[in-house]
Amino acid sequence: MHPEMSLINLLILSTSGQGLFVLSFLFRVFFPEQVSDELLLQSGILAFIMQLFGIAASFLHLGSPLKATRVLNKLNHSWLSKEILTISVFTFLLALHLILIMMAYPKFWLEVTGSMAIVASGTFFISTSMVYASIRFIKEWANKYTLANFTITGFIVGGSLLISILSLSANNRPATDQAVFIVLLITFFGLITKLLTYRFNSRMYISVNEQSATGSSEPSIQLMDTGAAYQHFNTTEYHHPISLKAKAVQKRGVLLLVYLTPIVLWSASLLLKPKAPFVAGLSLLAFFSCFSGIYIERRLFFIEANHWQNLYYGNFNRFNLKNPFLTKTKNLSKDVSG
Amino acid sequence: MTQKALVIDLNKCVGCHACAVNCKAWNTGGEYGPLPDVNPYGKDPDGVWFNRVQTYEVGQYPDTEIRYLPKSCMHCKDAPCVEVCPTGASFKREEDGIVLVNYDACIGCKYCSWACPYGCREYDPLAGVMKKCTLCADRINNESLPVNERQPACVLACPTGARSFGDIDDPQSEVSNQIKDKHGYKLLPESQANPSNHYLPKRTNHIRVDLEDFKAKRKAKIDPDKRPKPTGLKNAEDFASP
Repeated sequence: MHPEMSLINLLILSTSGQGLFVLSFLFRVFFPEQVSDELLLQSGILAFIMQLFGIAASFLHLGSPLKATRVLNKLNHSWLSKEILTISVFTFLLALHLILIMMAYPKFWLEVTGSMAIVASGTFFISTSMVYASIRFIKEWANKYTLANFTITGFIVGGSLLISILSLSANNRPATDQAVFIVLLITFFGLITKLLTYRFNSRMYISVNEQSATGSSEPSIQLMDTGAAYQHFNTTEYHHPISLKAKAVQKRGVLLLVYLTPIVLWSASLLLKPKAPFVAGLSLLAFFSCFSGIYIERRLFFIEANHWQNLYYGNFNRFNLKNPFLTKTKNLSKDVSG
Repeated sequence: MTQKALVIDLNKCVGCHACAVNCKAWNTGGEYGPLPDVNPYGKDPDGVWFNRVQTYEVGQYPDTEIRYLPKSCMHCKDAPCVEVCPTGASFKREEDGIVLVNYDACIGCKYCSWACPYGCREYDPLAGVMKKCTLCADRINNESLPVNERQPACVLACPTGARSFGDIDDPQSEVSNQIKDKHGYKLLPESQANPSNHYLPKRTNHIRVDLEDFKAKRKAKIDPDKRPKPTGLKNAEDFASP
């Protein structure tokens, strides 16, 4: 699939912002003495801005953005409708929650609105993952790892942002260490999930081929002409030219930037117990590493998607690669025959 | 239940693209048009076509042959594109089972095209909406046209009669009989979308040719010395000689 920046921005900003708010709110509930309302307000405003930018990016994806309100017409059976509804509801509840904090409302009302926002966030994570996981003609998406990766990466980036905010605020070292420990666990779990995803994609069984696409029983079928379709929607939207080497390098980059670098930096912050400015520096470095890596990860998510319709346009990747980090095409025949 | 659909006989299709061109011509001026072209004479021409004829080479050299696959929207009975549409712009018409797009409601999110396993949805970049084959809904229900012309433009244009149009749910219809008698099949049965358009399989005439014998005869035909003498006048009176 062609990686469209508007969709990538929507996915990253919305999931990261919600991860930030959910972690901040849970910290406030479980460690009230360490996380102040002011800090929750700061992270909440940041999460709110990220939601607004995410929603704005989603408009850029539409061909007719002026008719965008119609997207809520089919809530009963379209995951896209549910995604837009849940992000809107979350953003509204988040705004309400922030207003109540600013107006110093009783704790009960803050917890009610915050909890409702968390429920909306949960339904958003499910909806936005199912937008992709429900497309059964893209096997790289239609699996359980899509939901797991979307949710965990949202919490990793959101968590790295929360750690940065905590480390920059004064006298918050215990809270920073606790946040680092929890986000470290999430990141480690995310690393395992990502490796399992790569393994799943590389060993996936592809049930369709040119024979089933054309109905011909001939063992050798080669597409000669796509029919007035040199470069049109169906050849450009569903295919992104990328070499195996570039793909393998980007996959390694994702593991390094999103998972390994933050794990090392946060572990150093926990184990070496450096002074506050160093902790802030390490936290910011971890955040920038995560944030840049997640863009590569989400771009690869689109690039790797191998839609069945590519069978009709000569772009279908039928090679069932045993090694997700394979860089040389000369090994392909061996792998396919194996 | 009525399900209008196309039945395409691959044995008759000669890959002339008349169906695709006539489809484009009719729908560009029709109710569901236009079908714009972007940069048609430039380096990277782009355009909306409801119907495309794809060309395949089957077999291994030297035993190869060319086959054509005309492909447009399959008007699936369990259309995945209709299920995922967030606005309800994509819908399946109850009276004849044709899958259509309401351009006024379409927001151009392209999600329906993701859900189509056949790659038959087209994005119109100028109008910002998704477009697709309508089985010429503006022709088949048009009472101002003569009855025999109330058919899709591609069916009327096909010079070999490879395309047929009718109700595949009516067991007495011509298309149903064609599917039954000639073993009609559906593309990508793994999609579970239950496509309505059917294809009649290509039948191949296998002629055995001795390659050495063929080469010898061909050489003899070219070489005038080794060309066999005409024997037609052997027992006849030679009127041509003086």
